[in-house]
Amino acid sequence: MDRVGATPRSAVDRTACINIRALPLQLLLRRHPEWKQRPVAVVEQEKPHSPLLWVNAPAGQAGIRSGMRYASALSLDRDLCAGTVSEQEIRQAVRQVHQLLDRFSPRVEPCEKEPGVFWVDAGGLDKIYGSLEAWARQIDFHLSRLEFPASIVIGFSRFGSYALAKAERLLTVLPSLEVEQAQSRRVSLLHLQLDPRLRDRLEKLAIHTLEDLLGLPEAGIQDHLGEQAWNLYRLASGELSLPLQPRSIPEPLRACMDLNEPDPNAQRLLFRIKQLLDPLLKAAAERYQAAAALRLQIRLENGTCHRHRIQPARPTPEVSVLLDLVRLRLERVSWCAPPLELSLEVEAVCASAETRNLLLQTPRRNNEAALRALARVRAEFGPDSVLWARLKPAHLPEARWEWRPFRKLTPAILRPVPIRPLVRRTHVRPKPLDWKKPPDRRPLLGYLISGGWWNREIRRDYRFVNTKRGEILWAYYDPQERRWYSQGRVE
Amino acid sequence: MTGPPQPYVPLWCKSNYSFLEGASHPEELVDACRQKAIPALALTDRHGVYGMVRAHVRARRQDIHLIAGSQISLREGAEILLLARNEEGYRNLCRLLTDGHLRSSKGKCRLDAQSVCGCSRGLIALWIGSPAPKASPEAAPDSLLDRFKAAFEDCLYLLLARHRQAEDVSREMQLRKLAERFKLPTVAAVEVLYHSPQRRRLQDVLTCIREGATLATAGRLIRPNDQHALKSPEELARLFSDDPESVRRTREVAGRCSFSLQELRYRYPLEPLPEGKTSSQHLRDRTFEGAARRLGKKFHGLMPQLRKELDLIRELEYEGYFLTMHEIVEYCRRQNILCQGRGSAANSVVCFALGITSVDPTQVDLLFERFLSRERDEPPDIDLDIEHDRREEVIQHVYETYGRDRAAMVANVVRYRRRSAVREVGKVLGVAATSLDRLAKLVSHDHWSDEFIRQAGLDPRSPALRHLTSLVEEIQDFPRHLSIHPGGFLLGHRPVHDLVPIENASMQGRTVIQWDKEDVDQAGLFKVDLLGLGALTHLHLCFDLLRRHRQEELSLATIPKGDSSTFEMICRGDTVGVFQIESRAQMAMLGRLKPRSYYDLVIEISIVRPGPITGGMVHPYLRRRNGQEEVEYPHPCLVPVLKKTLGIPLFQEQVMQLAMVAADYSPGEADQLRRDMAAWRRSGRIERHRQRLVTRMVAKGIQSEFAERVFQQIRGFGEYGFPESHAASFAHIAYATAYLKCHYPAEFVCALLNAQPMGFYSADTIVNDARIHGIEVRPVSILHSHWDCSLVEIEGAPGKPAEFAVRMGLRYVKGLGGEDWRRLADAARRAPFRNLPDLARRSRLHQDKLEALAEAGAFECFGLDRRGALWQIQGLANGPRPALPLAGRDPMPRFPSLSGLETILWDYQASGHSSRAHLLQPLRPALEAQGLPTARQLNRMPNGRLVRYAGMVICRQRPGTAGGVTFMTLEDETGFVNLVIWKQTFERYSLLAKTLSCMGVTGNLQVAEGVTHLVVQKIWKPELEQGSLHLKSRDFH
Repeated sequence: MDRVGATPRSAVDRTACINIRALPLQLLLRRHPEWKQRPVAVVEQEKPHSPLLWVNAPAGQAGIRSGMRYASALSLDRDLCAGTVSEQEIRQAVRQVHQLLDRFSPRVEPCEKEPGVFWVDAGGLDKIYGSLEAWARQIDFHLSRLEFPASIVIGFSRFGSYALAKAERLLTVLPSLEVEQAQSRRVSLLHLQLDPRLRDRLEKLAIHTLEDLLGLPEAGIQDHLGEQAWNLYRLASGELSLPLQPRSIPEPLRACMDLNEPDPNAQRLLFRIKQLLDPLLKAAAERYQAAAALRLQIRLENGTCHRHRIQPARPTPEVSVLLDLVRLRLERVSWCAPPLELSLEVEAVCASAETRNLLLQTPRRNNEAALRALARVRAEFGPDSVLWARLKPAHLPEARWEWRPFRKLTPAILRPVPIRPLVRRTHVRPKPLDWKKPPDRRPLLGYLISGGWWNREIRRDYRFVNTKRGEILWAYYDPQERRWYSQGRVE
Repeated sequence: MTGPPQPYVPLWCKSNYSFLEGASHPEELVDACRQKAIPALALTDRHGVYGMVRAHVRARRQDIHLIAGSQISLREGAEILLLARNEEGYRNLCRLLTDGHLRSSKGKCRLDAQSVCGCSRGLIALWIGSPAPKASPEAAPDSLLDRFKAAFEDCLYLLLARHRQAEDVSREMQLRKLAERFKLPTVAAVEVLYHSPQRRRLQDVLTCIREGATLATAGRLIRPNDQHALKSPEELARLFSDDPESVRRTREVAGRCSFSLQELRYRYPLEPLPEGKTSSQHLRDRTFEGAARRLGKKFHGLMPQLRKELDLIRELEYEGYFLTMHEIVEYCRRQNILCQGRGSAANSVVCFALGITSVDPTQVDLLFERFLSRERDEPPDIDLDIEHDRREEVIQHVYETYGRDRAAMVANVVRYRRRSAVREVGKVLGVAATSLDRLAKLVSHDHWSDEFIRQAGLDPRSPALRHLTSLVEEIQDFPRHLSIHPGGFLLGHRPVHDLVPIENASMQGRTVIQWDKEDVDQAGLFKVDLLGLGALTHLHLCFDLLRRHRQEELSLATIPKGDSSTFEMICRGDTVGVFQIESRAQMAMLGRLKPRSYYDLVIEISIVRPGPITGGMVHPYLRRRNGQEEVEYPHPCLVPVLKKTLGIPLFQEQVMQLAMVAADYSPGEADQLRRDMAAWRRSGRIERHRQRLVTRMVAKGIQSEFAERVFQQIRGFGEYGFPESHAASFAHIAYATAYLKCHYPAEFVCALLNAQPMGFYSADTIVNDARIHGIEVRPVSILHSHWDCSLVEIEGAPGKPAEFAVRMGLRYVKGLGGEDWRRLADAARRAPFRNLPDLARRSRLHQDKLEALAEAGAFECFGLDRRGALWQIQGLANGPRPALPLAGRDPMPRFPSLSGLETILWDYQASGHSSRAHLLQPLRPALEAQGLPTARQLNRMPNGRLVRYAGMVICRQRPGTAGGVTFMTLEDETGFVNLVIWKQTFERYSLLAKTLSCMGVTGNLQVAEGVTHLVVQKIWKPELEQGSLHLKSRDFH
């Protein structure tokens, strides 16, 4: 049966596929530029048995393929270098490219499954840029400036342009759908992001190109090769064609207001803020989001700027809750000049059902009240005013805990203490002392901490020292620096 | 005025045999005691006495009183040290530890207070308290201490350990309260984990390895300071300046511990004897019976030697040992298991008469003193080689015969080597595991260089890599954990766990003692070595094939001796698969030595060894053998000793005889010389023989110049000398396998393939060699192959002897297991398979297995090519499998046929070899077009010619004796090419040299005495159309 490809919406519909080639690999090579000439692979985890996700050309030449275990690949080429790339890194890079492409087309669809692949609606852009080639060159130029070498294929269908963009590094404008179909069928399956098992299976059957695949009897493909091969077959034959599904980068929930005349009145200022906040919260609600924090920026007449971040106890869609916190914060501000301009941004997060329902329920636990109170403390004294100490199993006193932002209030568990222990109060950083030797002739007790040789060798000879004022000082001698430090005191 | 501090005794010392905890060798701890003038030391490794023998040997030499002990964690949550006061205490300690280990999984020990208190006699207990730094020592209930006090009475102490840690004070306060309440004495201690503070880094690393942490995240898992080193008396006195009484008590405790490992009384178990006979009479009777049977008339000529040996055996009370070995050999014989004794036992006529060894004492001059001597206070050592795939039967027989308490296997201590160290230490330092994997594969086993780090894409100057470099060197040889020795058994007349604790091995049904082979030797215990030998399996399988297909009965004893065609084949170096003389170096030597007799084979096996090579004996011997140098003897008295090797000492026994004859050494002194030769690199003890040897030789009329030369040869022989008896045993098997290869090549190859893994070469090389010899090798076929390879008769001319082809077995299909074969065989037994769906339906093999068979071409007998078979299997897998056969539902697509090269590549991928052709055969036209010769052509070229050659690498070697020269063997469809790569060339092309599977080389031919080597100047990657070829080679083993 003679297959007919995808039918474009109109004769002028053009779909471009932009492929940032092996994006995670490029990100890895940015981190390790010394690996550029060597076989390199991105691995899922830093473990020898972790599968390879992406491999570069020198690795491919050694027979190394994605899906192999790192240890197996290493037996093919002992020079193979590997590393991981986090999802966050990839997301950031995709977002960066997406933002760039948004400047060149109103409709951009980043590929969900393959980071670095984008479809862009190129319809009508030749009229703006002179030609589609010029448009593509512009994109290529800007991508190169971002150090993202890419292939750009302007074709007629999503799959056809995708297959060609994956095949080789090129910048091309296809003249017709027929040409696209003819060229895409010659694309090697190795270039497409197939499941490694399917890829190997097809290779064993000598099905190397899309054309080979299309040559198989349609009836048997699903039974013999499975669902993914069947979908690929339908995409390649044009039987399955999806329209472009553009995604936009969500606009920040931000609003500004020029006060026209400087106004030092706090009540009026709060009212203006409410004017800004109402539509922003409404917009957030339309996205099924609630405010997790507000970023308030107030520019004063003298040019100085006040910045505040106000965080409610939990994400909320309620204006009154947020305004109450803003009020608390502004009450503590003393203005050196009257405010002139307001800028407000809502940090929105998806509202959970619990969050949405919470506002409808009557609080039953004091915990909630406590959380609100802590939110008010934060609002009044700043975000770092509510912290908790997370204990860490370290030897150095100052490393035995770390301050973490307070997130969750858990009920305290009381443990009986037979003898009231002495309490050590620790300085955030040890303080130097001007002793030549400890003033106390009767040191209570001492101990030694030494270690950290793999990073920075530390040696501290600790003493508890009675001072003349009757205090017990917790001090140590650092033989490397040849001086005494106060670690804290004992009460 | 205060005098010098009184010595103290460290009572809590853990060596690196407290696996992944202690950071010093036991010997280092003992040496440190000596340096610090500490008179005694208690070795208290965790849950064991693993390092005790090593410490004992060193302590005797350093005159340090070693106290045997162990640290034990009680299930109740407390830690104690147990020290052996006397032999009964040591026995109780071993029993306790055995009990704790056998109750737990491998590497664990579960003991409770009740068990410990029940075995308190002869032991001193030092109470440590709770191991957790935060928990109070009183965490243990009072009743626990009450029980300990009742059990140990005045042998219970509280241990006050000070490490200048923050928790020390509160812990000590609690312990002192306990001491007061229970009226217990205290002793001062430091938990010694290393002999010097410099080892602290390594101790941190070991802790992280044990806990699976990195240094950056280990936090309080590692110790807070470096106060766990062995302290000098001054340091300890300072540390306990407020409590000298506790320091004094360390000496009191040490004084109460008088036990030494030397006191261990060991007797070999007695075999059940016929009524009214002593073991001596029984051994004598069995020996004479055997001698008469094996030696026939020659028996009487050997009577004096037999009597001499039997008298000595009786005097030393070793009858039980010989009778045990005889019983094991008889068991093998009854079960039709091939076995043969090797090693120094072949020097004994008694061993030959009892059937333990096969070396005919009338054929070879034997030196009984090498095996057994009065002066030497140690048991004889008999190693028994057994068919490797039936060894487990013999091991279980020994367990059944002697019981698990009187028989346990000897341990093998797994130690850190460079590669394992790189992986584990690097992980602790936070280096990415993938980078470590790459680095580990690049590092050499014998040296370390920053170049490896650079090649792995890492920066050797980075702090982590600098630490890695130094720590990897430091951790070398550190014990990691215990495994099982390949075949060493300790048997005792009383329970083995009275001598050394026994623990569970990871292998089901095996128990293992806490000492390794060297420890057992040093402790003077009897060991029976039951070793697996693939060559015996090979022979057995070959004899079975001959019986089945040719109705010929052959055995090791009945193989015709001195067969000239066999020796001709050997002289050609045509010895792939022949035991002991198949390696690259042996093949090269065969061409020079040209063995023509059994004894020539004994020499051949001995001469390609580091001893003769470094001793400079090979070339003089070859020159004399080839008539290029006159055979001369330094003194007429040495003629009998050196005559058989043309005046050049080649064997260990000759060195001993030489010392006995020329320098009047007694047999015992000669044996000591052998031992000192073996240890000279480590101890330098050989030097003490110099003056004695030279003086006595000169006194006997031997020129001083020659005497000096002999000494230099002995020293050069060093630890690598090969005993003649050992070579004589091996030569038997070597000749037998060569005979079979020469006369029954198809049976030889078939048996060799079925005996794999064994020997020097892979199945691929064996198949290629068979093809070169004109043996037809047929590929796997689901209808014709069995699990093992089999013989198929080829129809030939009537009256001519039958000829056979080898059909590859399904065992060679990668991914297919014995269980899969059983399913296939069961289904095929019911009815032959008609087609692939029928096979899949009835055998119910998993899709992966069917695909493996398809890729190996096993379904071609159904008229299906490999791609077609794969397509069908995939259809069967994705659709439901019908219970009944159904007609095909969809048309079969036409897939391109595999090319010649593709077929071979698929063969290699699916089964590691190709029965169709060598990998390079289809590429030959392309290689010829590049002007590259075959191995056969190259081996016929003249000396000195500059050539380019490409072949598949089958082995890389860098012998320690070769001064950095690397030897490689390349293979193509016509044979082998031997490469010699000088150190500089190797370094220049190291990455290619280490990594290429298909290698191109340019160099000059070196042809001497019919042996060709290619001296490499340049290494390159051959340009092949299909990219890289990959084959597994045997590298730097």
